[in-house]
Amino acid sequence: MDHDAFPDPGSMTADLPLVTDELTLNMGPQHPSTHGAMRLILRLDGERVVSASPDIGFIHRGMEKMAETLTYLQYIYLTDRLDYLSSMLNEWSYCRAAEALAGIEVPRRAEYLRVLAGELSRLASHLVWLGSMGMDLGAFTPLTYTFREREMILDLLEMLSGQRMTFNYLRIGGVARDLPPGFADRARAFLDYFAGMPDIYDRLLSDNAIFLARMRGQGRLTPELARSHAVTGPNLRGCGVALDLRRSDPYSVYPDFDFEVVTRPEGDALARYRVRVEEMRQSARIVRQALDGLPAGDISAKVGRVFRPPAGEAYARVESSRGIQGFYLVSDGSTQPARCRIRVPSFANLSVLPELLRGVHVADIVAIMGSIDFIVPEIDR
Amino acid sequence: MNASLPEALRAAFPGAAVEERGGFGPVLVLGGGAALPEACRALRSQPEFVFDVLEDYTALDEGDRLQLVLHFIRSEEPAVQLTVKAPVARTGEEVPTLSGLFGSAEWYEREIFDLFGVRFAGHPDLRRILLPEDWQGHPLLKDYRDDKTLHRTGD
Amino acid sequence: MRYFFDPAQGFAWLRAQLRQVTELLGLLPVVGDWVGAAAVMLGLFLFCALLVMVLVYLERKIAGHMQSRLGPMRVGWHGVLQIIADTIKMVVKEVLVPACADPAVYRAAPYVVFIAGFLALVALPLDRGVTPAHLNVGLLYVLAVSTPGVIGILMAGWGSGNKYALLGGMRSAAQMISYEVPLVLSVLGVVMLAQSLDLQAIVVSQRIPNIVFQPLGFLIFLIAAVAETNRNPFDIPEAESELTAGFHTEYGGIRFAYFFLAEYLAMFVLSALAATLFLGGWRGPLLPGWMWYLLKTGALLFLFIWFRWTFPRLRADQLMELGWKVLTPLAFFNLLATGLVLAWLR
Repeated sequence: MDHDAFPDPGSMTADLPLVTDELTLNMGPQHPSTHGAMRLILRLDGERVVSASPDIGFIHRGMEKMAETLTYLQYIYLTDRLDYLSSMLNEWSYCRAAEALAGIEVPRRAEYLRVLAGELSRLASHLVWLGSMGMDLGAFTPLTYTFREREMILDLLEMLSGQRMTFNYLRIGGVARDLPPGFADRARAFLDYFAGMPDIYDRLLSDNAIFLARMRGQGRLTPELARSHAVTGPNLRGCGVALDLRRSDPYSVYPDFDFEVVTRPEGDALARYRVRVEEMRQSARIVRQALDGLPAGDISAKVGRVFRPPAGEAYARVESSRGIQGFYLVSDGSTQPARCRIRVPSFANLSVLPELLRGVHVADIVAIMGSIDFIVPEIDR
Repeated sequence: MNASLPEALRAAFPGAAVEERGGFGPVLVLGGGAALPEACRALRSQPEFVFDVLEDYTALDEGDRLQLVLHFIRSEEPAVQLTVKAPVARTGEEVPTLSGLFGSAEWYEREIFDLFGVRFAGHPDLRRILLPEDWQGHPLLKDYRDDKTLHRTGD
Repeated sequence: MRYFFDPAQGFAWLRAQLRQVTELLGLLPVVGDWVGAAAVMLGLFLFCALLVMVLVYLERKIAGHMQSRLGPMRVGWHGVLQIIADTIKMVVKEVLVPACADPAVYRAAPYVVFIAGFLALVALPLDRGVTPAHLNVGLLYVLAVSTPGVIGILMAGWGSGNKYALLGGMRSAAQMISYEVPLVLSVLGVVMLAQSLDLQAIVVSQRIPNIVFQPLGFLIFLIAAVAETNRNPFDIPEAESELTAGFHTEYGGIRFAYFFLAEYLAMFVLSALAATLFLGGWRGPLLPGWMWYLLKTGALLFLFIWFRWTFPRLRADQLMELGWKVLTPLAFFNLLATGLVLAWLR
């Protein structure tokens, strides 16, 4: 076809195919909405996505290889830097694996402190997610509200561990520090303050007609697709599958706690959103129970200066804020792991993104990506 | 269900070994990588197993050979976990892909290829996933030489 | 002092003085009028600049307080000098033209958008008898002349030579053209009530503000105005989190400042128009007319700011749907209802 010649109107027939070029667009690695340094290669046909291909590895630091050159104890601080928004939960799964290798039993008080720290971390992570979800959709104000609440949580965790973000609080066998004086009161004051917050977020976002129009029916994830791609966490629970390790395969002292496993059947972005908001309420509930039921005792088992587990392997998981996070440790009897494999929820969660983005509007990419809530440093390790 | 799982595994996979680890579910050790697709299909579909989520798929370097390690979990109650292992040669062996059975396998296999050098026959898009396309070597192998001048950019 | 309350007399006095001066200088008196007109234009331009500075400051302060924080606090008392610092920064920035850009189009775009808004500003009545450019078809003129701003945006999107900017420009153009229809239709009810297109006449006719008689018209106008100015929830073209600032991605320094200026000017023009048409313009007890005019416009500007920081943004097709399938039929219905009621009353 001669593109330069002006078409003769008389020759235009209705059955000529409309030839439009596809636009290849690169989203990232520097982009406000990719939640980290990730590149999304999009092929667009007008406003619709034909294909989306994530390109990861920008934050690959070789964490699995590094573990082979560090001692077990030295590695704890690095585990913080996987999912840095809920660091306590990363440390927890690592410490569980190391404890399993050596057959160490963690004292009850330490387990309660781990639950306390872990759930506060989960809450902080969900708050960040909520704020950035709103911001991705153009609602700038919820971000400031959720970060305000998160500041209070970070203050609490700073009282506990000395750090605001990458805590280095858990140790193999327990935790590093006991509750400082005044922590319990301050934590309860925060919980009382926070009790009404999810309702405010609902009024501002979840009940807003524009928000609902942007989120309802977007990125519909079927249970089959989710299972096939090993999607876990609120994404899986948002399509009706009630898999929450804290209830389905309980670890630590979670059997002592009374909380709901939140699921919703629809499988779209709105369902995942509602699951996480409700999980915030449940986390607050667990924290309160942990404070009320904290037993006396040691904060750590007696572990020698040098941690040298016998040869063997262990695979321990926790329910992180994004899904199942696991550490698979293989010991050869020395002070350094022979293999440290990190199973990260965001890796599998992201792998389903190309399926979810097929055929959607450009503007919905951000909504769907936000609702999956992946974090790139975790994916890349 | 838990107590009988090792028995059920031994019955269903007579050629494989079943080890038990306290608290973390049994380990099914297959004869080799070629047996994986069949075994995984059985593990997913047979009613006494129903391991429908391939939670993790990675490899170990055991010196003389590599060991593929798969972690399964059931999405329905009870959420039992299972580990499957399959030895493969360090070089030269092509393992049949599981990406037709499990969507998650597609990226996991790319990562194993990237970091260990294992090739997967039938994989739709076998290329590096974490490291740059032109990286030399497979870092998680024990004999990987971390030469700072190995990867030059801008050339 | 009486000029404070009745600026029309004040301008008449000024005009008379100018004519006398020009006569003294031996020129035709009409030259005095021209000088006066030029001075008024300059004054309006300065007013625009001042207005934008005040608006930006208010936006940042209001946004801050809505978001549980303080906004600018350091530069000057409670941050009042912040905007001056920002203006200086924008003006001294390096101005560059991207390599892939179409130079003439790229350079001209910001001015096209600004001029469209400025041309509309001059026809708005400030007080009884005070309009910089009094036209008997004032309303038609204002609506017509603010439309070429779309061309400026398309020019920016195309001229930048950037895929993101192009997408932003196209989206913006589609949006603005779509919302012109309900915008114009919604004011026709007011025209029917006032029996005139003359903006001064419309204000004079409002013993009771038109919002009482045309609530639906006001609502449609307000929503369409937010869409016309590309403000949240209709700020798809600027959607920072998706397309990196849309059509003005590639603009920096003083050219970006012009886009900024143009956006706030458009906000002001439409708010002032709404105040004129629906809220009674400069009418009001006690305070001088122009003060009421500014207060009413300010109240509507506050609404604009409030909306921006509260709502998430609509997707492009949802925005189109709202414009064509909801607002336009409602505007037609409003027109019909107004016509029927008026026919019945007369």
